[in-house]
Amino acid sequence: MMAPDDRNMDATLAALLAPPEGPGDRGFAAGVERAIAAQAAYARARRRFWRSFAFEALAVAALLAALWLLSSTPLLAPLAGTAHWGLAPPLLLILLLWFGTQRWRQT
Amino acid sequence: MPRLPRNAPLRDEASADEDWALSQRVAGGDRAAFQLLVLRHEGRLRAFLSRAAGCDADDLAQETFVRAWQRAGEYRGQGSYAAWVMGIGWRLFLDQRRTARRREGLAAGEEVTTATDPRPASDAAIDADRLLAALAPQERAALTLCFGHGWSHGEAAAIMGVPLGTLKSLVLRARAKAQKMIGEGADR
Repeated sequence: MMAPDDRNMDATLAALLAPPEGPGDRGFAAGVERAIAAQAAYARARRRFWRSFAFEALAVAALLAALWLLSSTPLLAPLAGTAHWGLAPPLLLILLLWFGTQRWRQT
Repeated sequence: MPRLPRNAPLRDEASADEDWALSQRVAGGDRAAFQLLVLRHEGRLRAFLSRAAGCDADDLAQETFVRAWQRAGEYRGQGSYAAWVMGIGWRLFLDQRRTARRREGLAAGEEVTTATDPRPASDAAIDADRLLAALAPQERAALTLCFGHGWSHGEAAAIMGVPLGTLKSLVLRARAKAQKMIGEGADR
């Protein structure tokens, strides 16, 4: 048997390497659809996480600012005695901020 | 839903127009239109990637379509949609291969599959897999695109992201190797 000459070589390669004929694979297409849905769900979860993180960072920043302001108020100086009353206003503020941001996120 | 031809001729004007119309809808977030595009092109893409990778590449093909969906707005009708998707698949394949090689600590420039089954294919056993196993991935991809899928050298170069001259060299080298293997098989 002779080796295929140049003329036949291209046809041989084309026959060997041709993609399979047939209708589109609906199972594969469904798999792609599921993968896209999973990616979208992941992206949503990631966005939710960053939004939540941003809100909490904001709340902490507000809390720190409030703490700093309160600690520099002369009116509260007598409260900051041994009973640690000085911590009460900022702690109340933490709770208020927390509830406030939680409600904002839910809406 | 009508049965769609898996491998509609790529250069068919009507088919290209249909792809363009569908891709416009996809860019607007139409998932049903994207399903139609997947059905039209998955056969070619999976065949190409499995030839290039030398193994089953369904996961790679799926990832390719997910990327195509995410970047739908980037396709502006420059070249065919099939070529655009194939290009994404080819780059993903190269990325995965690079990562795998880095992980395995293989020496740079050494082809993973070159060492597989160096025996010449016998006349009865000549098949695409054995033929391609003797080629480097770039050669396999170039040969598959130009001979199996019927792309022009320019289109294949665009898909693979290489200069035209490089693509032609790859095709010539791969063809010569394939011819030698088939010849050796036929002479037995």
